[in-house]
Amino acid sequence: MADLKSEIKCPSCGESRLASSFLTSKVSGQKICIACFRKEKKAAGASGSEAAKASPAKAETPKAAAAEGGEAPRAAALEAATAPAAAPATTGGLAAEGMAKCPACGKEMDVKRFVTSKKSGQKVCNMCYQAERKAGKADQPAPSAAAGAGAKAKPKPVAAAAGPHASAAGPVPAGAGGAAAPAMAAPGAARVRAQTVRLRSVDQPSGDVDRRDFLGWLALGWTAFTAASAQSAIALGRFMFPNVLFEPPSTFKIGYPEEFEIGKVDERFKASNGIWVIRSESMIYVLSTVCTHLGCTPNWLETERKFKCPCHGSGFQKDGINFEGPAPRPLERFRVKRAEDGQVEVDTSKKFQYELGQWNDPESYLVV
Amino acid sequence: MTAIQRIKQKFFESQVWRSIFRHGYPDTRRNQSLAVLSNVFLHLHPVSVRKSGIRLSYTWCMGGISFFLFLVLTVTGVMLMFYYRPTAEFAYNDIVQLREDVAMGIMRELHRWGAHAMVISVWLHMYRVFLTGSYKPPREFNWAVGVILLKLTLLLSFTGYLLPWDQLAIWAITVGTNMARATPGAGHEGPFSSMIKLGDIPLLHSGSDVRFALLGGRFVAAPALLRFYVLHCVGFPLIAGVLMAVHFWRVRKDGGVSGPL
Repeated sequence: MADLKSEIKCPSCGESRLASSFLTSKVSGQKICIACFRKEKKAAGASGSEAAKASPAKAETPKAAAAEGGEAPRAAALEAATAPAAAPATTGGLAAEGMAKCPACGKEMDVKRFVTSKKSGQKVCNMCYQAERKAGKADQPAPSAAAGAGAKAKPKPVAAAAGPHASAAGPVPAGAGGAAAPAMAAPGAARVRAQTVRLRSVDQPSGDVDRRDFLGWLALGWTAFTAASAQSAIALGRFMFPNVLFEPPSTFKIGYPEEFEIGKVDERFKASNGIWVIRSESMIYVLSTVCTHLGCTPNWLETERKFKCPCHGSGFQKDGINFEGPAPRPLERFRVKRAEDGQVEVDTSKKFQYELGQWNDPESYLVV
Repeated sequence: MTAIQRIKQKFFESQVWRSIFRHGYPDTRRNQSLAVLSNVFLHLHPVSVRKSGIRLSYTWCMGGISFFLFLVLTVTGVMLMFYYRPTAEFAYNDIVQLREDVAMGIMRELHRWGAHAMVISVWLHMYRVFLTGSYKPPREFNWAVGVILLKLTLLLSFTGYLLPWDQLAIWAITVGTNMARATPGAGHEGPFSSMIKLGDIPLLHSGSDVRFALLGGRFVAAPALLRFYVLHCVGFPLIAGVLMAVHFWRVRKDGGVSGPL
């Protein structure tokens, strides 16, 4: 049969499917697709066919059967296990347990780790097998004898496992062979199964989703999840910034210049807008009511002619210059201008700091 | 067998008792271990503690006292939530009501003094851990968790400070949150803030910086009260609870309470 990854037509249902998913039918002996195989198996199970009962090992892992090289060697192996006296010793010179020498690398190794090489057909150790497989993959992109093995009865691991009862090298003493056969049959078969399952996974992993695809989907899934999480984190952050504020506007009119008495500190807008308006001989300027020490609100003490902060005792003169207490710099001033209707308009979003020389900015005062 | 013994036996061998306690009376080493291991409330606790681990002159029991105070504050805090409304209209009057009119309103004083005590005990706990060198391997990670827990304790204290909504609270939080203005790259008066702009438009201003998000406005007002209330009652206690579980578990995993060398 052709490449495992190529698509071929199933003779039973007529659909094109991946060659790796083809199995040998137990009814027709043909290679059919896994869907048909399952249907067949279900039908067999429903009718309670003898075949299904007689060989539970067959029904156990249908997927790998193709890779295993068909039913023939397996059935033979099972027979060998149940009737060891009659079975041929097709072990390739290996016992089921104990140590053996690998013909490829020459290392002593547990026979359980031996696999049939696809190149030489010999039993080689797992490490040599993997190396061979890797090399084969690099050489030719589609080497796969196993799936197409079909009727070719290769000496499979099952056969090797069946050995103990037939060969003298096994754990069962040779003399006890014949007599002990019926009693040993059951555990022997169990061991065969366990071993074939393990070796098969090494031999030829096959399935509907392979490892590479699975990892691809996994990576895609995690990427999508991370992106969605990051997006919700940003959305949650944005949630904390309100769009509507119940605060006074930053730009507002405070009346006509004539309403402000020369030489006085006007405290009318202290509570509502956080400003003092002061008119001197020649100009109007607007001071922020935020203490430059730690942000408390000072009070204007008319008798002492100074702003005094109740928190830590900072003192500011009428023009805003600090002169006592811990405040490190003068009070800030806000932008002030004449609106079109002649009123004084204050903009608290723009501040002017004395220590930066910004009080000379014509926007920081209003000439009257 | 007397009647009392029979009743006792019947009681301790009943299905109800045996379904709750899956071990015998803790008079053997095995049952003593099981008493801790199979108890959901004790499972973070080590099965056995070194003698030095309970020596008061060594540990001062400050970690245990901190945890005890946290439990006291949780209980009293939940009780206060039955009376306190976190709005500018009601908050102050509810505190006054708790003090003057509510039966057992002393709960509020317990909460307040317990909070002060917890800040002190957590600091002392850290001081003891420092003095005994218990921050050294393999306990470095638990020290880091402890530092975060200390910060959470201070944040809990800070957010709780605003809730009485009196002059002291408002100005203390005003002063405290002014520090957030200077957060590097996130506060509008902090380092790098002038670099974050689109052409001539500054992106980081008093209406878009980290302090604004914290207060829900440009200054301490009703939105700030609500935010601090939620953080104080839900946010920080939840994080602190999770980290405390990690903290206690790591004490066990790192070899128990450190002892004298």
